[in-house]
Amino acid sequence: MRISSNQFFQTGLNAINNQQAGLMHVYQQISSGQRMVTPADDPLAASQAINIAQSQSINTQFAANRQVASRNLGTEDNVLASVTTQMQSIKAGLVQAGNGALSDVDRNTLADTLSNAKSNLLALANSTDDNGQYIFSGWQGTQAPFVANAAGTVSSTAVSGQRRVQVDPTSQMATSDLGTDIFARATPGTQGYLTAAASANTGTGQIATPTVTNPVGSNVGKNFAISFSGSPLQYTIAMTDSLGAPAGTVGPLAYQTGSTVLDMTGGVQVQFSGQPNAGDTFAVNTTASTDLNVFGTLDSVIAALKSPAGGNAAASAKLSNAVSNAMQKISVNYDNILTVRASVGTRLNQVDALNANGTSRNLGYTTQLTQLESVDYYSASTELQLRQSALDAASLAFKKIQGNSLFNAGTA
Amino acid sequence: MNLANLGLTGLNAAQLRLQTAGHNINNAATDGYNRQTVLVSSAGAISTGSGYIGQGVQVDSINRSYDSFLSQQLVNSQSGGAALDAYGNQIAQVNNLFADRTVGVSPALQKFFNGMQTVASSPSDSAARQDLLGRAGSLVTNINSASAFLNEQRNNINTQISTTVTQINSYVDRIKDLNHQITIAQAGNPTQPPNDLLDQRDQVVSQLSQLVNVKTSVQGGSINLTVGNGQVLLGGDTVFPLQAVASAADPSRTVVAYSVASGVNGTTIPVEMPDQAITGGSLGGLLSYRSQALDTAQNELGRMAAGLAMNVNTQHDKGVDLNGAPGTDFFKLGSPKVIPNAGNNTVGGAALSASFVTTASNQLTGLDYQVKFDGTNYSVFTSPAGNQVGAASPSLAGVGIPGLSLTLSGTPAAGDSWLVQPTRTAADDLKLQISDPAKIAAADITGGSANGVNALALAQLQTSKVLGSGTMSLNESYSQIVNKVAVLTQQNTTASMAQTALIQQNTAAQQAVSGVNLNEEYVNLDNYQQQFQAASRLISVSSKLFDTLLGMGA
Repeated sequence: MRISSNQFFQTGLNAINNQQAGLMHVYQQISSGQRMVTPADDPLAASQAINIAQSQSINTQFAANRQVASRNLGTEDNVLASVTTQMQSIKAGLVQAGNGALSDVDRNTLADTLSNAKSNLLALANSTDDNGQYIFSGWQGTQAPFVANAAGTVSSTAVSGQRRVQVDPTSQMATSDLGTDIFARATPGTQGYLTAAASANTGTGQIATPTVTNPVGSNVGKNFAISFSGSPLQYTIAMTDSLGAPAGTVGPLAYQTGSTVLDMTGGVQVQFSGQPNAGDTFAVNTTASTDLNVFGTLDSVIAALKSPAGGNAAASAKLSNAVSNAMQKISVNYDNILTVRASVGTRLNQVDALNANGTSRNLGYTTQLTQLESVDYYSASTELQLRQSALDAASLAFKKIQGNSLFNAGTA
Repeated sequence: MNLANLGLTGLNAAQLRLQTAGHNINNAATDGYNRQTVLVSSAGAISTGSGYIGQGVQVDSINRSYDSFLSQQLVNSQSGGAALDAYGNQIAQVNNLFADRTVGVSPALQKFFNGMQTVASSPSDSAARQDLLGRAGSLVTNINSASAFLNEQRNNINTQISTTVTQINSYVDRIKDLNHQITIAQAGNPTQPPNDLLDQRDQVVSQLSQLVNVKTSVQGGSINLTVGNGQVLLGGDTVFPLQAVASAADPSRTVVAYSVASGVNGTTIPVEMPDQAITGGSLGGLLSYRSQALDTAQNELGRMAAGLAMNVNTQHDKGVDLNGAPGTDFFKLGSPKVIPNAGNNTVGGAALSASFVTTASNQLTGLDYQVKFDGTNYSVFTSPAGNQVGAASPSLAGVGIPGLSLTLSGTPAAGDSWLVQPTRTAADDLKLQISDPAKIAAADITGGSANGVNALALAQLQTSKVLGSGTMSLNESYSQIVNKVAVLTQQNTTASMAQTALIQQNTAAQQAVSGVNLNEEYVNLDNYQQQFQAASRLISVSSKLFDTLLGMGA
């Protein structure tokens, strides 16, 4: 077969070009650390890498989101810690107020203390975060969750919603709680009762400490209104259901002077003492049917503490009823605040757990990307060596062969 | 016959052979040169009583070592190779554009949604809102510039088609000239082939084939050229030039047209050739790249942009901004491109327009469509494949393009057609509509500065399967574009390597017959030199014999 001289050169050039292109590719792989110099080197891996990179980017973003969540929850936890302390001192104050040996002056002082506590609590309830947003005002970040009017009466504003943060691919976490859910609510599911005496009562009847004697009793969950009438003194219990609809009456029953317990029938009892007058009324309501605004509770008890009671049995009974009512309510609030705080702690723990998850996911994505994209330096440098040798061989071979012409041999 | 004359025939033959060897050596590196050889034969003999006495050697002809089959094979493989190269040069640019996944559309998309998450987590943080707008702007810029790159390539291809067509015509003219010269040469010397002219013509045909695949047929001393499905480029003495014209269906697209004699004064009219009719050569490569890769890539990029704008807008419109006002469109998306055919009847003033169905991003296909009206029925075909979509219908509402709604004003005439490119320009047209960070509707309908419910829903669009009938998220659709381009590039590279090997084989086979081997010519030179010397010796011997005879008398 004839090999044309032209082809000889061309073939030599092609061989060197090919080897050089191969060498260049390995060189690019090594210098960039990428197995794929362009997507065409591995189209499937290239598109997979794009999608894994998105997953990784999302994962990283969720980690940033979790930081926000944990910052928000941390702020809330700090505030709730102060609230808890404040509530403890309020409870201590109320216990003191229940002490019958106090003088009117002492009670006034106590009222001032509670008044201060109320202000502190209001300030805590209206705490703001670093963006100046109220932390307990739900979605209405610029609206204070509680406002005081000129008379000092604190009411909650119409705020709603729980701020949510996407903390992992499938779940959103509430990173705030509404003020009303902290300061004006019983822990959901609480099956307790609260007692109150009407302020117009003239007798010395004192109502306290309701007990559910039978949790599945027929009347558990209903509200009871106790009204005294007639002579001899008797009382009637009017029941309403949770929606306020009448749900039957008990009595009238004769009131045994010196009773210590009144049976509401159907599983609910209250402690009762003293001598009520006809026309006096008392309420035994479920927590769900009671206004549990802590500020309102404090206002009433402060007012009660400020009215003179020294030496007057009826006024003492009234004070005692008011303090008892406040203690019951504050206790429910306190339990609720502890529950919210526990839930904040749980959420913080969850964030930590998810962080660990996210870190291991990130590691997984990095491993996957490395497998798809990164060059194996051992095999690449071996190949570089091989290609280098092949190029050298091709060049050397070309040199040898192209020198091998009869014209170069010279005419002998 | 004397000895000196006998020597002379040998001298002549040897000299011609030496000259031819020299010609071969000189042209060893000339493209398209076919090795020449001197054909000699015995000059016969004179019958005498003593027997037949040889008359020496005679030169019959100088031939080129040419095998039409082998050279045709080589030309064809080179034509295929040129097509693959042209395709490869174009797609390599797009492939390189996508080479680094850490820059460009995909990371911009991720950053946009990350920004959205940040706003969802801190809706009241004005820095987060501002940052989101910055990221959205960068996303739009990235999508725009990817599309601009493809547009630029499209324009380049238009220019290349025009210049290639001009070049093709000039080659055809040269072949016509060479046909002439060969005919004249053959008329002057009917028995001997004009080797070098033939070489030149073959070489021009080979060069022409690298621009476009042509078929040749020999007629007498001339060759005729056809292209495509038999459209004549050169017939006898007449050139029917190709033309680069704006497509009637889409004026932004330069296509190739062939000339048809209209019969009046030898004038011709251009007739568009379908892109797929032109194969081989760089022209074939460019055209197949444009319809196979470029259109698809740009349509799918547009589909991603449309999917982004439609879904983000729909969700954003449901929200409430920082001022409590209802959300407005976040992105601005253009309309699908509708191009009336240049041949449409304008009397009825029919105009077709299309708009996106904003909730139907999942139905968008990334294909182009042709809407035709035959006088009674409308029908829709994919373009350029020409597959009918659904059945023909007398009302426009009865036919449909997935993801679009069509409206027609005016009265169409039979034969009217429109090209609809749903997402071709969507990536170009994408703009950011919101510039005020407070206008980001992060809140749901309840409102509130700390309400990030709608932003959360927007952020979740990142992984929602909003494209391809619920099969792809936005990022996945982008990765699919990268994958498609990469696969096409890879196929091209593989095909190109195979084609190169084929060209090398064919070159070897053709060169084995036609190539010049310098060593061989060296040996020939030596050989013919000796022959020359031997023939000279004959003359010298003859002269000596004559001298001897004369000397005898002295």
